[in-house]
Amino acid sequence: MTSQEQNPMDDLSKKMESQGYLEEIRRILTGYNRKELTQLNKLLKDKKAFAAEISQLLPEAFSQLIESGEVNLDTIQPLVEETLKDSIKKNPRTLSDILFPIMMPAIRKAVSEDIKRMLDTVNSTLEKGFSPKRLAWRIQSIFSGKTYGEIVLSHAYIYQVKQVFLIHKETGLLLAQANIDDNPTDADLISAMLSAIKDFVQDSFRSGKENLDAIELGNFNIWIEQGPKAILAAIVEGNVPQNYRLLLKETLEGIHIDFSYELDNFQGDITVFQQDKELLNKCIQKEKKPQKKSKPIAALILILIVLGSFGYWIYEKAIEKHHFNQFVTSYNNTQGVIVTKTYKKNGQWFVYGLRDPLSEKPGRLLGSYNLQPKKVKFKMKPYYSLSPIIILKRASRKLKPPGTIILKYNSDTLFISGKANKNWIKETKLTAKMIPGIETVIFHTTHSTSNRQQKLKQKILAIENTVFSFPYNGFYLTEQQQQEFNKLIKETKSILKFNLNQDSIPVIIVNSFTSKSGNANANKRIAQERANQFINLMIKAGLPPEVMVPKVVFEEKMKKSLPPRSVSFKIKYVKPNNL
Amino acid sequence: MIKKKITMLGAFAVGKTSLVQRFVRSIFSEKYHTTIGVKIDQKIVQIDHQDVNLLLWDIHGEDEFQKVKPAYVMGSAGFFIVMDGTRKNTMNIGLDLLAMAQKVAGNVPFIILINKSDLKNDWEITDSDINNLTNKGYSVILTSAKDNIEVEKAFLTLAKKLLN
Ligand SMILES: Nc1nc2c(ncn2[C@@H]2O[C@H](COP(=O)(O)OP(=O)(O)OP(=O)(O)O)[C@@H](O)[C@H]2O)c(=O)[nH]1
Ligand SMILES: [Mg+2]
Repeated sequence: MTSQEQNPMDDLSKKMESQGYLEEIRRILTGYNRKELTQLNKLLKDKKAFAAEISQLLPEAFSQLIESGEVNLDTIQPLVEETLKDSIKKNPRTLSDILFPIMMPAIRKAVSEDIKRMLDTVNSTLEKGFSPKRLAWRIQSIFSGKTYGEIVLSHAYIYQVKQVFLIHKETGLLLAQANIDDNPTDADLISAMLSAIKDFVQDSFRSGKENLDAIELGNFNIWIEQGPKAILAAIVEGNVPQNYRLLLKETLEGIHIDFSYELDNFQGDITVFQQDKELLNKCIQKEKKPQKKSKPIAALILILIVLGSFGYWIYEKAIEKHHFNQFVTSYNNTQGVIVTKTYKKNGQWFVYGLRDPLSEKPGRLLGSYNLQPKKVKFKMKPYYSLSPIIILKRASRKLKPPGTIILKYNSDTLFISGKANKNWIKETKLTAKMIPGIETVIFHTTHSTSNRQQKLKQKILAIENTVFSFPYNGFYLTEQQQQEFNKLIKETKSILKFNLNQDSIPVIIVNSFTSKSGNANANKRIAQERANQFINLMIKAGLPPEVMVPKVVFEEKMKKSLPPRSVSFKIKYVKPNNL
Repeated sequence: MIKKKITMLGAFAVGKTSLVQRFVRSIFSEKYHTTIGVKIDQKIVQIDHQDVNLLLWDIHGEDEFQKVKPAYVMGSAGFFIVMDGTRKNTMNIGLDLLAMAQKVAGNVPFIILINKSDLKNDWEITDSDINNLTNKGYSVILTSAKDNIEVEKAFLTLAKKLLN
């Protein structure tokens, strides 16, 4: 049995199909053939394909609508703008987050195009000139594969990137840093400040689309590169080539990609960023120029072309003079320095004036104005400056206060507070007033016992707490007492070595205790004998006889009770003439 | 090391700078130098055997001339609202700033400091005012930057809250 036999209608349609009848009927009824119909059917069911199809039509439809005047562009435009504005206002970050990865490469490309164009101009302008230096550069260009212009520009820079900070944008916290030399600065504070400055600028100029990208700070510039989550700040000096900006951008982009999770979920833990030692290292750069001085690139090129090497020479002198004047101003502002006269002779600068020996030496200051020490001669006479900082320096130089003392200075008065030993305080009371600039001295000090004194006191206490007691009618030391005796001798010897005060010496009083009960006189005699015997033992053990004094003490006089027939000790310091 | 940003908020002359200086440098000055913009200090404290670097953003006080910029508060892990016990209106300004800070920094820990407790006799903020604050669930600490009362405790308590 087959299915065909079961359903005659099916059988019929199959037959018609195979002979093309059905197709013919469909075409007559709908105007479409089968193939077209299945295509339409498919299109309607597949949402994506349908949307794609419509989207091709929509613009056309839209422009037709506008043309016919049925839709007015002027009414749509504000609507779209409003929506966009609203969305940006609600969450500006989302939009910039989306745009950042797309825009940055484009911007970068545009910038490097600019540089290329500039290099081209430089090329054509410079190739006409000639000098030995340029010849060298030209040779360098042949061997290095760089264009001549690139090399000229690279020789015009002298710059240094001193420090690079990676800062978490929202919190202003320092994530990582790299330094050109390893002098640690308050990087945490600097980065927080930078972020505060950035907040301030962005808040104050909200209307402008200006993004803070550089801050000038005297000799330094801070280049700031901002991403959605983090900021890269580079402290630079000199003429930094523009492609350094690209490096910052690329580094920052890379960090956004590599650390996107950590940046999003930052809770103050910076270990991940610190672990990556190479993170910022390539942003630390410097480039030295064969000449001594740095000049702005533009100015350099201009002068090379217009004035040639003579102009260049004049320029260099002018810069030097400018630096020198700046230097003199700030040197004159240094505490303890008065500049009276400066002049130049035979290419050498002279500085006359007064200088307190305690004021800062000019060497470092010269360096920060790009002046070579050997170009500047100082003819400074010494004087005592009365500037508070110098007076304070002078005082601490002279008085050498221990770490526990704080010196303060205010209108002619030196305040000394803290703890110090007696001798220092005594000495200081005499010397402090003689320091130039100090009229009155006010003390808020307490005495401190020195370590030595402390130790001595402990030893004396130990000796005075030692007691030897003897049996009735016997004078010998038990084994345990012998040990205690040895200790006593050792402590006593070390006390004798200890010269606490030049004008007094220690005396060991050997107290021998007895009682008044019974025959007081006999008791006293026995006690005296015991003391002498004990002193003999001590002499045998090596103590000098002259420092020991026997003394009999009646128990009745004692506050605390000691065993009868016992010996104890007392250390006294006496002046030798009282002996 | 863990780092945390903490912001000092409050009306002018309530003692924000004094509190920070007392905590960071153990100093106090009677002289009043109003803060312009932000002054940032740092101090490393130990919380549960762990070093934490607190970056303290001491922001200028809010008055009719300068409003506090919300951007300064952004990213704070926690903040202080400082009031001056002797000036009642500093409480209202403080509460306004609290609302602003919570909007900007989100639901982060904060402590209300009522400062100048050494002048308790001249206080305009009363015990019932303070009760109202604590009843809202706020932590309140009465401090004196001048006499060093509860200053250290205030900072350490907040730091501890930040780490939980
Ligand atoms: N008696 C007393 N005076 C205080 C205390 N804290 C601060 N002051 C004084 O209050 C004045 C203002 O203190 P600041 O710390 O500068 O106040 P501020 O909140 O930083 O002020 P702005 O920076 O202008 O917002 C100063 O004269 C301080 O000496 C305190 O605990 N007790
Ligand atoms: Mg302040």
